[in-house]
Amino acid sequence: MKIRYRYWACQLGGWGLFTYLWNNIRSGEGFAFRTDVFGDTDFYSAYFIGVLATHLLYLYLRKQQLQRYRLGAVFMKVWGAVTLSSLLIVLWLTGISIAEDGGWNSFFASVDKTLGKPGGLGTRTTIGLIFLLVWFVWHLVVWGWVILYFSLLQGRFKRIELENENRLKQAELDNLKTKLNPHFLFNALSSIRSLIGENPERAQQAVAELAEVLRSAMLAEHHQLIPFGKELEVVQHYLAIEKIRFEERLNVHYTIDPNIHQQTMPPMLLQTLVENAIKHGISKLAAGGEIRIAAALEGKQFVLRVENTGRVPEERPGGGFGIQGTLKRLALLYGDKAFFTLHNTAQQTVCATVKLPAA
Amino acid sequence: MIEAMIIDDERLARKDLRAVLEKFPQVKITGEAANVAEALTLLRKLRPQVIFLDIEMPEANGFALLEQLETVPQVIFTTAYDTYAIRAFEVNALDYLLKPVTEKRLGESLDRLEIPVIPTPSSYLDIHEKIFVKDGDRCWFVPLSDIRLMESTGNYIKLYFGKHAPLLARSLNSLEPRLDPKHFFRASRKHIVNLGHVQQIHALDNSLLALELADGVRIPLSRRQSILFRELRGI
Repeated sequence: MKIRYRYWACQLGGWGLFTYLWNNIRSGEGFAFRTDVFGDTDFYSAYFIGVLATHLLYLYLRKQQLQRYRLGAVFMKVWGAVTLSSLLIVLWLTGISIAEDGGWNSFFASVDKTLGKPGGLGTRTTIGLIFLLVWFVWHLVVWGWVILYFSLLQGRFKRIELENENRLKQAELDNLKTKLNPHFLFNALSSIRSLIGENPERAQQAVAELAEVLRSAMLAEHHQLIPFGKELEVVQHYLAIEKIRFEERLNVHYTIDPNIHQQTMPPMLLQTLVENAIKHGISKLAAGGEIRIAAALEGKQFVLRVENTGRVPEERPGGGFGIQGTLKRLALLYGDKAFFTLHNTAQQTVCATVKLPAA
Repeated sequence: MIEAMIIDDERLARKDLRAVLEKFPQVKITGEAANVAEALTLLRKLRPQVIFLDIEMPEANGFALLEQLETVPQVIFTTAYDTYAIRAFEVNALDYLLKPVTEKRLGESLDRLEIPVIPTPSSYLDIHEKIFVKDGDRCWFVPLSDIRLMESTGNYIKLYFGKHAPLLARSLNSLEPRLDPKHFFRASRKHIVNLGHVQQIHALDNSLLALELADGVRIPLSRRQSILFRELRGI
Protein backbone atom coordinates (compact mmCIF):
# COMPACT_ATOMS: atom_id res chain seq x y z
CA MET A 1 0.00 0.00 0.00
CA LYS A 2 1.18 3.42 -0.91
CA ILE A 3 1.98 5.60 2.07
CA ARG A 4 0.65 9.11 1.69
CA TYR A 5 3.59 11.07 3.03
CA ARG A 6 2.09 14.45 2.41
CA TYR A 7 -1.08 13.52 4.22
CA TRP A 8 0.72 12.07 7.23
CA ALA A 9 3.13 14.97 7.45
CA CYS A 10 0.23 17.42 7.49
CA GLN A 11 -1.82 15.29 9.84
CA LEU A 12 0.90 14.63 12.45
CA GLY A 13 2.53 18.04 12.16
CA GLY A 14 -0.80 19.86 12.17
CA TRP A 15 -2.26 18.04 15.11
CA GLY A 16 1.04 18.28 17.03
CA LEU A 17 1.13 22.02 16.60
CA PHE A 18 -2.56 22.43 17.34
CA THR A 19 -2.51 20.29 20.48
CA TYR A 20 0.59 22.06 21.72
CA LEU A 21 -0.97 25.51 21.31
CA TRP A 22 -4.30 24.32 22.76
CA ASN A 23 -2.66 22.90 25.86
CA ASN A 24 -0.70 26.09 26.30
CA ILE A 25 -3.89 28.12 26.39
CA ARG A 26 -5.64 25.72 28.71
CA SER A 27 -3.06 26.02 31.38
CA GLY A 28 -4.97 28.94 32.83
CA GLU A 29 -2.10 31.37 33.00
CA GLY A 30 -2.57 32.83 29.58
CA PHE A 31 -0.67 31.87 26.48
CA ALA A 32 3.01 31.09 26.51
CA PHE A 33 5.34 28.67 24.80
CA ARG A 34 5.85 26.11 27.51
CA THR A 35 8.01 23.03 27.42
CA ASP A 36 6.33 21.34 30.36
CA VAL A 37 3.39 20.54 28.06
CA PHE A 38 5.43 17.65 26.71
CA GLY A 39 5.62 16.09 30.14
CA ASP A 40 1.85 15.95 30.41
CA THR A 41 0.00 12.78 29.32
CA ASP A 42 -3.00 14.98 28.45
CA PHE A 43 -0.99 16.35 25.58
CA TYR A 44 -0.32 12.92 24.12
CA SER A 45 -3.81 11.66 24.62
CA ALA A 46 -5.32 14.75 22.96
CA TYR A 47 -2.76 14.48 20.17
CA PHE A 48 -3.62 10.83 19.70
CA ILE A 49 -7.38 11.26 19.62
CA GLY A 50 -7.15 14.28 17.27
CA VAL A 51 -5.14 12.28 14.77
CA LEU A 52 -7.29 9.18 15.17
CA ALA A 53 -10.67 10.91 14.87
CA THR A 54 -9.70 12.95 11.83
CA HIS A 55 -8.00 9.97 10.24
CA LEU A 56 -11.26 8.06 10.51
CA LEU A 57 -12.96 11.08 8.98
CA TYR A 58 -10.33 11.09 6.24
CA LEU A 59 -10.93 7.40 5.49
CA TYR A 60 -14.65 8.06 5.25
CA LEU A 61 -14.20 11.04 2.91
CA ARG A 62 -11.91 9.03 0.67
CA LYS A 63 -14.16 6.01 0.68
CA GLN A 64 -17.09 8.16 -0.40
CA GLN A 65 -14.92 10.15 -2.81
CA LEU A 66 -16.35 13.30 -1.25
CA GLN A 67 -13.11 15.24 -1.72
CA ARG A 68 -13.84 15.35 -5.46
CA TYR A 69 -16.85 17.59 -4.93
CA ARG A 70 -17.22 21.17 -3.90
CA LEU A 71 -17.61 21.28 -0.14
CA GLY A 72 -20.98 23.00 -0.52
CA ALA A 73 -22.31 20.14 -2.62
CA VAL A 74 -21.65 17.45 0.00
CA PHE A 75 -22.15 19.64 3.08
CA MET A 76 -24.69 17.46 4.91
CA LYS A 77 -22.68 14.27 4.55
CA VAL A 78 -19.51 15.98 5.70
CA TRP A 79 -21.32 17.66 8.54
CA GLY A 80 -22.62 14.33 9.84
CA ALA A 81 -19.12 12.86 9.70
CA VAL A 82 -17.64 15.92 11.42
CA THR A 83 -20.20 15.69 14.21
CA LEU A 84 -19.41 12.05 14.80
CA SER A 85 -15.64 12.43 14.79
CA SER A 86 -15.80 15.44 17.12
CA LEU A 87 -18.08 13.41 19.40
CA LEU A 88 -15.42 10.73 19.43
CA ILE A 89 -12.84 13.31 20.52
CA VAL A 90 -15.03 14.75 23.26
CA LEU A 91 -16.00 11.33 24.59
CA TRP A 92 -12.37 10.31 24.69
CA LEU A 93 -11.27 13.47 26.47
CA THR A 94 -14.13 13.25 28.95
CA GLY A 95 -13.36 9.59 29.57
CA ILE A 96 -9.72 10.45 30.24
CA SER A 97 -10.74 13.20 32.68
CA ILE A 98 -13.05 10.83 34.55
CA ALA A 99 -10.34 8.19 34.69
CA GLU A 100 -7.80 10.73 35.93
CA ASP A 101 -10.15 11.88 38.66
CA GLY A 102 -10.53 8.29 39.75
CA GLY A 103 -14.11 7.54 38.79
CA TRP A 104 -17.48 9.10 38.17
CA ASN A 105 -18.06 10.38 41.72
CA SER A 106 -14.68 12.07 42.09
CA PHE A 107 -15.20 13.57 38.68
CA PHE A 108 -18.49 15.04 39.89
CA ALA A 109 -16.83 16.38 42.95
CA SER A 110 -13.97 17.96 41.04
CA VAL A 111 -16.40 19.61 38.63
CA ASP A 112 -18.38 20.95 41.58
CA LYS A 113 -15.25 22.27 43.14
CA THR A 114 -14.02 23.98 39.99
CA LEU A 115 -17.33 25.59 39.15
CA GLY A 116 -18.57 26.32 42.58
CA LYS A 117 -22.38 26.14 42.77
CA PRO A 118 -23.85 27.67 39.65
CA GLY A 119 -27.23 29.12 40.43
CA GLY A 120 -30.11 26.71 40.20
CA LEU A 121 -28.59 24.13 37.90
CA GLY A 122 -27.81 20.63 39.08
CA THR A 123 -24.35 19.18 38.59
CA ARG A 124 -25.59 16.73 35.94
CA THR A 125 -27.20 19.47 33.89
CA THR A 126 -24.08 21.59 34.15
CA ILE A 127 -21.88 18.71 33.03
CA GLY A 128 -24.30 18.04 30.20
CA LEU A 129 -24.20 21.65 29.07
CA ILE A 130 -20.44 21.83 29.30
CA PHE A 131 -20.20 18.56 27.38
CA LEU A 132 -22.35 20.01 24.58
CA LEU A 133 -20.35 23.22 24.56
CA VAL A 134 -17.05 21.36 24.34
CA TRP A 135 -18.49 19.12 21.67
CA PHE A 136 -19.53 22.19 19.68
CA VAL A 137 -16.06 23.73 20.02
CA TRP A 138 -14.40 20.52 18.84
CA HIS A 139 -16.87 20.24 16.05
CA LEU A 140 -15.67 23.66 14.88
CA VAL A 141 -12.06 22.50 15.18
CA VAL A 142 -12.78 19.44 13.03
CA TRP A 143 -14.55 21.68 10.54
CA GLY A 144 -11.35 23.67 10.38
CA TRP A 145 -9.55 20.44 9.58
CA VAL A 146 -12.05 19.62 6.80
CA ILE A 147 -11.72 23.05 5.23
CA LEU A 148 -7.94 22.77 5.26
CA TYR A 149 -8.13 19.29 3.79
CA PHE A 150 -10.51 20.28 1.00
CA SER A 151 -8.64 23.41 0.04
CA LEU A 152 -5.27 21.63 -0.09
CA LEU A 153 -6.66 18.73 -2.11
CA GLN A 154 -8.78 20.73 -4.45
CA GLY A 155 -5.88 22.93 -5.34
CA ARG A 156 -4.17 19.77 -6.46
CA PHE A 157 -7.21 18.50 -8.35
CA LYS A 158 -7.52 21.80 -10.13
CA ARG A 159 -3.89 21.66 -11.19
CA ILE A 160 -4.25 18.12 -12.54
CA GLU A 161 -7.43 19.11 -14.33
CA LEU A 162 -5.72 22.09 -15.92
CA GLU A 163 -2.82 19.95 -17.06
CA ASN A 164 -5.18 17.44 -18.60
CA GLU A 165 -7.12 20.17 -20.29
CA ASN A 166 -3.97 21.59 -21.81
CA ARG A 167 -2.88 18.23 -23.05
CA LEU A 168 -6.30 17.63 -24.57
CA LYS A 169 -6.30 21.02 -26.23
CA GLN A 170 -2.93 20.34 -27.82
CA ALA A 171 -4.02 16.95 -29.06
CA GLU A 172 -7.17 18.43 -30.51
CA LEU A 173 -5.24 21.15 -32.27
CA ASP A 174 -2.89 18.60 -33.77
CA ASN A 175 -5.87 16.64 -34.91
CA LEU A 176 -7.61 19.60 -36.45
CA LYS A 177 -4.67 20.81 -38.41
CA THR A 178 -6.14 20.26 -41.78
CA LYS A 179 -4.45 17.57 -43.66
CA LEU A 180 -4.37 17.93 -47.37
CA ASN A 181 -7.55 16.65 -48.93
CA PRO A 182 -6.73 13.35 -50.70
CA HIS A 183 -9.28 14.16 -53.41
CA PHE A 184 -7.23 17.14 -54.35
CA LEU A 185 -4.03 15.18 -54.48
CA PHE A 186 -5.32 12.42 -56.74
CA ASN A 187 -7.25 14.75 -58.97
CA ALA A 188 -4.16 16.91 -59.32
CA LEU A 189 -1.99 13.93 -60.25
CA SER A 190 -4.60 12.81 -62.71
CA SER A 191 -4.88 16.15 -64.45
CA ILE A 192 -1.12 16.72 -64.47
CA ARG A 193 -0.65 13.37 -66.13
CA SER A 194 -2.88 14.24 -69.05
CA LEU A 195 -1.26 17.66 -69.22
CA ILE A 196 2.11 16.02 -69.86
CA GLY A 197 1.06 15.14 -73.38
CA GLU A 198 -0.86 18.30 -74.06
CA ASN A 199 1.32 21.01 -72.56
CA PRO A 200 4.59 19.64 -71.15
CA GLU A 201 5.77 23.05 -69.98
CA ARG A 202 2.64 23.70 -67.97
CA ALA A 203 2.86 20.15 -66.62
CA GLN A 204 6.39 20.80 -65.35
CA GLN A 205 5.24 23.93 -63.65
CA ALA A 206 2.28 22.10 -62.12
CA VAL A 207 4.53 19.45 -60.61
CA ALA A 208 6.54 22.20 -58.91
CA GLU A 209 3.34 23.83 -57.66
CA LEU A 210 2.07 20.55 -56.30
CA ALA A 211 5.39 20.06 -54.52
CA GLU A 212 4.98 23.46 -52.87
CA VAL A 213 1.49 22.64 -51.68
CA LEU A 214 2.59 19.28 -50.30
CA ARG A 215 5.59 20.82 -48.57
CA SER A 216 3.52 23.45 -46.84
CA ALA A 217 0.90 20.91 -45.80
CA MET A 218 3.64 18.90 -44.14
CA LEU A 219 5.23 21.92 -42.53
CA ALA A 220 1.86 23.04 -41.23
CA GLU A 221 1.97 20.13 -38.83
CA HIS A 222 4.86 21.73 -36.98
CA HIS A 223 3.58 25.28 -36.70
CA GLN A 224 0.78 26.75 -34.69
CA LEU A 225 0.88 30.05 -36.56
CA ILE A 226 2.47 31.19 -39.82
CA PRO A 227 2.71 34.53 -41.65
CA PHE A 228 -0.19 35.31 -43.96
CA GLY A 229 2.20 35.81 -46.89
CA LYS A 230 3.26 32.16 -46.68
CA GLU A 231 -0.29 30.91 -46.53
CA LEU A 232 -1.28 33.05 -49.49
CA GLU A 233 1.56 31.64 -51.56
CA VAL A 234 0.41 28.11 -50.91
CA VAL A 235 -3.18 28.99 -51.74
CA GLN A 236 -2.04 30.49 -55.01
CA HIS A 237 -0.20 27.31 -55.91
CA TYR A 238 -3.18 25.28 -54.87
CA LEU A 239 -5.54 27.29 -57.04
CA ALA A 240 -3.14 27.12 -59.97
CA ILE A 241 -3.41 23.34 -59.83
CA GLU A 242 -7.18 23.40 -59.50
CA LYS A 243 -7.25 25.72 -62.49
CA ILE A 244 -5.68 22.95 -64.58
CA ARG A 245 -8.50 20.69 -63.58
CA PHE A 246 -11.40 23.09 -63.87
CA GLU A 247 -9.97 25.14 -66.74
CA GLU A 248 -12.29 27.99 -67.70
CA ARG A 249 -14.75 26.90 -65.01
CA LEU A 250 -12.56 28.42 -62.32
CA ASN A 251 -11.68 32.11 -62.09
CA VAL A 252 -9.84 33.61 -59.15
CA HIS A 253 -9.51 37.24 -58.02
CA TYR A 254 -7.31 38.49 -55.21
CA THR A 255 -7.76 41.71 -53.23
CA ILE A 256 -4.86 41.71 -50.81
CA ASP A 257 -3.72 44.62 -48.67
CA PRO A 258 0.06 44.68 -49.38
CA ASN A 259 0.90 45.57 -45.77
CA ILE A 260 -0.44 42.45 -44.14
CA HIS A 261 1.91 39.75 -45.28
CA GLN A 262 3.41 39.56 -41.80
CA GLN A 263 0.10 39.03 -40.01
CA THR A 264 0.07 35.62 -38.34
CA MET A 265 -2.63 33.04 -38.80
CA PRO A 266 -3.15 29.30 -38.30
CA PRO A 267 -1.67 27.36 -41.24
CA MET A 268 -4.09 25.88 -43.78
CA LEU A 269 -6.93 28.11 -42.61
CA LEU A 270 -7.32 30.09 -45.82
CA GLN A 271 -6.58 26.87 -47.67
CA THR A 272 -9.54 25.16 -46.00
CA LEU A 273 -11.87 28.01 -46.93
CA VAL A 274 -10.71 27.95 -50.55
CA GLU A 275 -10.97 24.17 -50.67
CA ASN A 276 -14.55 24.40 -49.46
CA ALA A 277 -15.32 27.11 -52.00
CA ILE A 278 -14.20 24.72 -54.71
CA LYS A 279 -15.74 21.58 -53.30
CA HIS A 280 -19.16 23.01 -52.48
CA GLY A 281 -19.19 25.84 -55.01
CA ILE A 282 -17.26 25.61 -58.24
CA SER A 283 -17.22 21.83 -58.64
CA LYS A 284 -21.01 21.71 -58.28
CA LEU A 285 -21.59 24.14 -61.13
CA ALA A 286 -21.40 22.93 -64.70
CA ALA A 287 -20.58 26.45 -65.88
CA GLY A 288 -18.13 26.98 -63.02
CA GLY A 289 -17.75 30.29 -61.24
CA GLU A 290 -15.54 32.73 -59.44
CA ILE A 291 -13.55 32.71 -56.23
CA ARG A 292 -12.67 36.06 -54.68
CA ILE A 293 -10.08 36.16 -51.94
CA ALA A 294 -9.72 39.31 -49.87
CA ALA A 295 -7.48 40.05 -46.89
CA ALA A 296 -7.22 43.34 -44.99
CA LEU A 297 -6.85 44.95 -41.59
CA GLU A 298 -10.10 46.34 -40.23
CA GLY A 299 -9.36 48.21 -37.03
CA LYS A 300 -7.79 45.74 -34.67
CA GLN A 301 -8.93 42.79 -36.68
CA PHE A 302 -7.28 40.87 -39.44
CA VAL A 303 -10.05 39.91 -41.83
CA LEU A 304 -9.92 37.11 -44.38
CA ARG A 305 -12.77 36.75 -46.82
CA VAL A 306 -13.42 34.03 -49.40
CA GLU A 307 -16.38 34.42 -51.73
CA ASN A 308 -17.49 31.89 -54.28
CA THR A 309 -20.27 31.37 -56.74
CA GLY A 310 -22.87 29.01 -55.33
CA ARG A 311 -25.33 28.70 -52.50
CA VAL A 312 -25.04 27.38 -48.95
CA PRO A 313 -28.06 25.19 -48.21
CA GLU A 314 -30.20 27.18 -45.78
CA GLU A 315 -30.89 24.22 -43.53
CA ARG A 316 -27.26 23.60 -42.69
CA PRO A 317 -25.16 26.74 -42.98
CA GLY A 318 -21.62 25.85 -42.06
CA GLY A 319 -22.31 22.20 -41.42
CA GLY A 320 -19.42 20.62 -43.29
CA PHE A 321 -16.63 18.94 -41.43
CA GLY A 322 -14.02 21.36 -42.70
CA ILE A 323 -16.00 24.25 -41.30
CA GLN A 324 -16.57 22.56 -37.94
CA GLY A 325 -12.87 21.86 -37.71
CA THR A 326 -12.07 25.47 -38.55
CA LEU A 327 -14.44 26.72 -35.86
CA LYS A 328 -12.94 24.46 -33.22
CA ARG A 329 -9.45 25.38 -34.22
CA LEU A 330 -10.15 29.09 -33.97
CA ALA A 331 -11.81 28.65 -30.59
CA LEU A 332 -8.88 26.69 -29.23
CA LEU A 333 -6.30 29.13 -30.52
CA TYR A 334 -8.00 32.47 -29.95
CA GLY A 335 -10.83 31.78 -27.50
CA ASP A 336 -13.62 34.28 -28.18
CA LYS A 337 -11.38 36.70 -30.02
CA ALA A 338 -11.79 35.06 -33.42
CA PHE A 339 -14.95 34.94 -35.52
CA PHE A 340 -16.11 32.87 -38.40
CA THR A 341 -19.22 33.35 -40.52
CA LEU A 342 -20.50 31.64 -43.63
CA HIS A 343 -23.56 32.93 -45.42
CA ASN A 344 -25.23 33.52 -48.74
CA THR A 345 -24.78 37.10 -49.88
CA ALA A 346 -25.87 38.37 -53.25
CA GLN A 347 -27.50 36.24 -55.90
CA GLN A 348 -25.47 33.04 -56.17
CA THR A 349 -22.62 34.02 -53.90
CA VAL A 350 -21.39 32.44 -50.68
CA CYS A 351 -19.15 34.44 -48.39
CA ALA A 352 -16.90 32.93 -45.72
CA THR A 353 -15.30 35.42 -43.33
CA VAL A 354 -12.69 34.88 -40.66
CA LYS A 355 -11.72 37.64 -38.24
CA LEU A 356 -8.59 37.19 -36.18
CA PRO A 357 -7.03 39.54 -33.68
CA ALA A 358 -4.42 41.60 -35.56
CA ALA A 359 -0.89 40.70 -34.52
CA MET B 1 -15.45 -4.74 -80.35
CA ILE B 2 -16.71 -3.09 -77.19
CA GLU B 3 -18.50 0.18 -77.65
CA ALA B 4 -17.80 2.52 -74.76
CA MET B 5 -18.61 6.03 -73.66
CA ILE B 6 -16.77 8.34 -71.26
CA ILE B 7 -18.73 10.58 -68.90
CA ASP B 8 -16.66 13.01 -66.84
CA ASP B 9 -16.94 16.74 -66.24
CA GLU B 10 -13.19 17.33 -66.54
CA ARG B 11 -11.81 17.58 -70.04
CA LEU B 12 -8.34 16.45 -68.99
CA ALA B 13 -9.72 13.45 -67.17
CA ARG B 14 -11.62 12.38 -70.28
CA LYS B 15 -8.53 12.92 -72.37
CA ASP B 16 -6.41 10.92 -69.95
CA LEU B 17 -8.77 7.96 -69.94
CA ARG B 18 -9.06 8.07 -73.72
CA ALA B 19 -5.26 7.98 -73.96
CA VAL B 20 -5.03 4.89 -71.76
CA LEU B 21 -7.90 3.22 -73.60
CA GLU B 22 -5.99 3.58 -76.86
CA LYS B 23 -3.83 0.68 -75.67
CA PHE B 24 -6.89 -1.53 -75.90
CA PRO B 25 -7.92 -1.85 -79.52
CA GLN B 26 -10.96 -3.95 -78.59
CA VAL B 27 -12.55 -0.87 -77.06
CA LYS B 28 -14.06 1.77 -79.28
CA ILE B 29 -15.04 5.07 -77.71
CA THR B 30 -18.19 6.17 -79.40
CA GLY B 31 -18.89 9.27 -77.34
CA GLU B 32 -17.91 11.62 -74.53
CA ALA B 33 -20.14 13.65 -72.24
CA ALA B 34 -19.28 16.34 -69.70
CA ASN B 35 -22.47 16.28 -67.70
CA VAL B 36 -25.53 14.20 -66.95
CA ALA B 37 -27.86 15.97 -69.40
CA GLU B 38 -25.44 15.50 -72.29
CA ALA B 39 -24.84 11.92 -71.25
CA LEU B 40 -28.55 11.05 -71.22
CA THR B 41 -29.05 12.21 -74.79
CA LEU B 42 -25.93 10.47 -76.04
CA LEU B 43 -26.63 7.25 -74.21
CA ARG B 44 -30.07 6.95 -75.75
CA LYS B 45 -28.65 7.59 -79.18
CA LEU B 46 -25.45 5.52 -79.05
CA ARG B 47 -26.49 2.72 -76.67
CA PRO B 48 -22.90 1.81 -75.68
CA GLN B 49 -22.18 -1.50 -73.96
CA VAL B 50 -19.92 0.08 -71.38
CA ILE B 51 -19.76 3.49 -69.78
CA PHE B 52 -16.87 4.97 -67.82
CA LEU B 53 -18.68 7.16 -65.36
CA ASP B 54 -17.30 9.78 -62.99
CA ILE B 55 -19.22 9.77 -59.71
CA GLU B 56 -18.69 13.38 -58.71
CA MET B 57 -20.04 15.73 -61.33
CA PRO B 58 -21.64 19.16 -61.09
CA GLU B 59 -25.42 19.59 -60.98
CA ALA B 60 -26.18 15.86 -60.86
CA ASN B 61 -23.80 13.03 -60.02
CA GLY B 62 -23.18 9.68 -61.64
CA PHE B 63 -25.84 7.93 -59.58
CA ALA B 64 -28.47 10.44 -60.66
CA LEU B 65 -27.64 9.64 -64.26
CA LEU B 66 -28.10 5.91 -63.72
CA GLU B 67 -31.38 6.43 -61.92
CA GLN B 68 -32.74 8.22 -64.96
CA LEU B 69 -31.94 5.34 -67.28
CA GLU B 70 -34.52 2.66 -67.91
CA THR B 71 -31.87 0.00 -68.01
CA VAL B 72 -28.16 0.44 -67.54
CA PRO B 73 -25.21 -0.72 -69.60
CA GLN B 74 -22.09 -2.10 -67.89
CA VAL B 75 -20.77 0.67 -65.69
CA ILE B 76 -17.18 1.26 -64.64
CA PHE B 77 -17.00 4.11 -62.19
CA THR B 78 -14.02 6.40 -62.24
CA THR B 79 -13.19 8.41 -59.17
CA ALA B 80 -10.17 10.12 -57.69
CA TYR B 81 -10.80 9.12 -54.13
CA ASP B 82 -14.28 8.45 -53.04
CA THR B 83 -14.51 5.60 -50.64
CA TYR B 84 -17.94 6.74 -49.55
CA ALA B 85 -19.55 6.36 -52.95
CA ILE B 86 -17.86 3.04 -53.52
CA ARG B 87 -18.97 1.70 -50.18
CA ALA B 88 -22.57 2.23 -51.26
CA PHE B 89 -22.39 -0.88 -53.38
CA GLU B 90 -22.81 -4.48 -52.57
CA VAL B 91 -19.54 -6.38 -52.84
CA ASN B 92 -18.67 -7.09 -56.47
CA ALA B 93 -21.72 -5.24 -57.66
CA LEU B 94 -19.60 -2.74 -59.51
CA ASP B 95 -16.23 -2.07 -60.89
CA TYR B 96 -14.41 1.15 -60.33
CA LEU B 97 -11.15 2.71 -61.41
CA LEU B 98 -9.17 5.15 -59.35
CA LYS B 99 -7.76 8.15 -61.15
CA PRO B 100 -5.12 8.46 -62.47
CA VAL B 101 -6.03 5.21 -64.21
CA THR B 102 -3.25 2.71 -64.86
CA GLU B 103 -3.14 0.56 -67.94
CA LYS B 104 -2.83 -2.62 -65.90
CA ARG B 105 -5.86 -1.86 -63.75
CA LEU B 106 -7.91 -0.85 -66.75
CA GLY B 107 -6.96 -4.09 -68.49
CA GLU B 108 -8.22 -6.10 -65.51
CA SER B 109 -11.48 -4.22 -65.53
CA LEU B 110 -12.00 -4.85 -69.22
CA ASP B 111 -11.23 -8.56 -68.79
CA ARG B 112 -13.84 -8.79 -66.10
CA LEU B 113 -16.55 -7.17 -68.16
CA GLU B 114 -19.49 -9.31 -69.12
CA ILE B 115 -20.42 -7.69 -72.33
CA PRO B 116 -24.12 -7.88 -72.82
CA VAL B 117 -25.19 -8.88 -76.28
CA ILE B 118 -26.98 -5.81 -77.42
CA PRO B 119 -30.50 -7.04 -77.84
CA THR B 120 -32.08 -6.49 -81.18
CA PRO B 121 -34.15 -3.39 -80.76
CA SER B 122 -37.53 -4.53 -79.59
CA SER B 123 -40.33 -2.93 -77.70
CA TYR B 124 -39.54 -5.15 -74.73
CA LEU B 125 -36.59 -5.02 -72.38
CA ASP B 126 -34.31 -8.02 -72.52
CA ILE B 127 -34.61 -10.21 -69.44
CA HIS B 128 -30.86 -9.88 -68.84
CA GLU B 129 -30.81 -6.11 -68.92
CA LYS B 130 -30.00 -4.42 -65.67
CA ILE B 131 -31.83 -1.81 -63.66
CA PHE B 132 -30.01 0.57 -61.35
CA VAL B 133 -31.69 1.03 -57.97
CA LYS B 134 -30.52 3.30 -55.18
CA ASP B 135 -32.21 3.16 -51.83
CA GLY B 136 -30.75 5.45 -49.21
CA ASP B 137 -27.06 4.68 -49.10
CA ARG B 138 -27.18 1.38 -50.95
CA CYS B 139 -27.10 0.72 -54.65
CA TRP B 140 -27.72 -2.28 -56.84
CA PHE B 141 -27.39 -3.24 -60.48
CA VAL B 142 -30.07 -5.86 -60.74
CA PRO B 143 -30.88 -7.89 -63.86
CA LEU B 144 -34.60 -8.12 -64.65
CA SER B 145 -34.30 -11.90 -64.41
CA ASP B 146 -33.45 -11.62 -60.69
CA ILE B 147 -36.52 -9.59 -59.82
CA ARG B 148 -39.26 -11.93 -58.67
CA LEU B 149 -41.89 -9.38 -57.81
CA MET B 150 -42.70 -5.73 -58.48
CA GLU B 151 -45.09 -4.07 -56.12
CA SER B 152 -46.69 -0.70 -56.76
CA THR B 153 -46.53 1.80 -53.90
CA GLY B 154 -47.75 5.17 -55.10
CA ASN B 155 -45.33 6.52 -57.67
CA TYR B 156 -42.72 3.99 -56.72
CA ILE B 157 -42.12 0.34 -57.42
CA LYS B 158 -40.82 -1.93 -54.75
CA LEU B 159 -38.47 -4.42 -56.39
CA TYR B 160 -38.09 -7.76 -54.65
CA PHE B 161 -34.88 -9.66 -55.37
CA GLY B 162 -32.67 -11.76 -53.12
CA LYS B 163 -33.12 -10.43 -49.61
CA HIS B 164 -33.67 -6.88 -50.78
CA ALA B 165 -36.68 -4.77 -51.60
CA PRO B 166 -35.56 -1.25 -52.53
CA LEU B 167 -37.78 1.39 -54.09
CA LEU B 168 -37.46 2.41 -57.70
CA ALA B 169 -38.66 5.90 -58.61
CA ARG B 170 -40.97 4.86 -61.43
CA SER B 171 -44.59 3.84 -61.64
CA LEU B 172 -45.63 0.27 -62.31
CA ASN B 173 -47.86 1.41 -65.17
CA SER B 174 -44.98 3.11 -66.98
CA LEU B 175 -42.76 0.07 -66.69
CA GLU B 176 -45.32 -2.59 -67.62
CA PRO B 177 -45.44 -1.95 -71.40
CA ARG B 178 -41.66 -2.45 -71.50
CA LEU B 179 -41.78 -5.85 -69.81
CA ASP B 180 -41.92 -8.93 -71.96
CA PRO B 181 -45.18 -10.85 -71.22
CA LYS B 182 -43.20 -14.03 -71.81
CA HIS B 183 -41.49 -13.34 -68.47
CA PHE B 184 -43.69 -11.00 -66.53
CA PHE B 185 -47.34 -11.24 -65.66
CA ARG B 186 -49.50 -8.49 -64.23
CA ALA B 187 -51.21 -10.19 -61.32
CA SER B 188 -53.28 -7.26 -60.19
CA ARG B 189 -53.21 -3.46 -60.00
CA LYS B 190 -50.58 -3.79 -57.35
CA HIS B 191 -48.29 -6.59 -58.54
CA ILE B 192 -46.24 -7.80 -61.48
CA VAL B 193 -44.79 -11.27 -61.04
CA ASN B 194 -41.72 -12.74 -62.72
CA LEU B 195 -43.00 -16.07 -64.05
CA GLY B 196 -39.53 -17.57 -63.81
CA HIS B 197 -39.80 -17.31 -60.02
CA VAL B 198 -43.26 -18.85 -59.68
CA GLN B 199 -43.16 -22.14 -57.81
CA GLN B 200 -46.80 -23.07 -57.54
CA ILE B 201 -50.16 -21.99 -58.81
CA HIS B 202 -52.95 -22.18 -56.28
CA ALA B 203 -56.60 -22.33 -57.26
CA LEU B 204 -58.60 -20.47 -54.66
CA ASP B 205 -62.35 -20.49 -54.05
CA ASN B 206 -64.55 -18.83 -56.62
CA SER B 207 -62.09 -19.66 -59.40
CA LEU B 208 -59.47 -17.11 -58.41
CA LEU B 209 -55.79 -17.94 -58.68
CA ALA B 210 -52.73 -17.15 -56.57
CA LEU B 211 -49.08 -17.48 -57.59
CA GLU B 212 -46.62 -18.73 -55.00
CA LEU B 213 -43.10 -17.40 -55.38
CA ALA B 214 -39.84 -19.05 -54.43
CA ASP B 215 -39.81 -17.25 -51.10
CA GLY B 216 -43.22 -18.64 -50.20
CA VAL B 217 -45.13 -15.42 -50.73
CA ARG B 218 -48.49 -15.87 -52.43
CA ILE B 219 -49.64 -13.21 -54.83
CA PRO B 220 -53.39 -13.29 -55.47
CA LEU B 221 -54.56 -12.63 -59.02
CA SER B 222 -57.47 -10.32 -59.66
CA ARG B 223 -60.59 -11.84 -61.20
CA ARG B 224 -59.81 -10.56 -64.68
CA GLN B 225 -56.19 -11.61 -64.52
CA SER B 226 -57.14 -15.03 -63.18
CA ILE B 227 -59.24 -15.59 -66.27
CA LEU B 228 -56.47 -14.27 -68.50
CA PHE B 229 -53.88 -16.46 -66.80
CA ARG B 230 -56.02 -19.56 -67.29
CA GLU B 231 -56.49 -18.72 -70.95
CA LEU B 232 -52.80 -18.13 -71.56
CA ARG B 233 -51.69 -21.25 -69.74
CA GLY B 234 -54.57 -23.40 -70.77
CA ILE B 235 -55.51 -24.44 -67.25
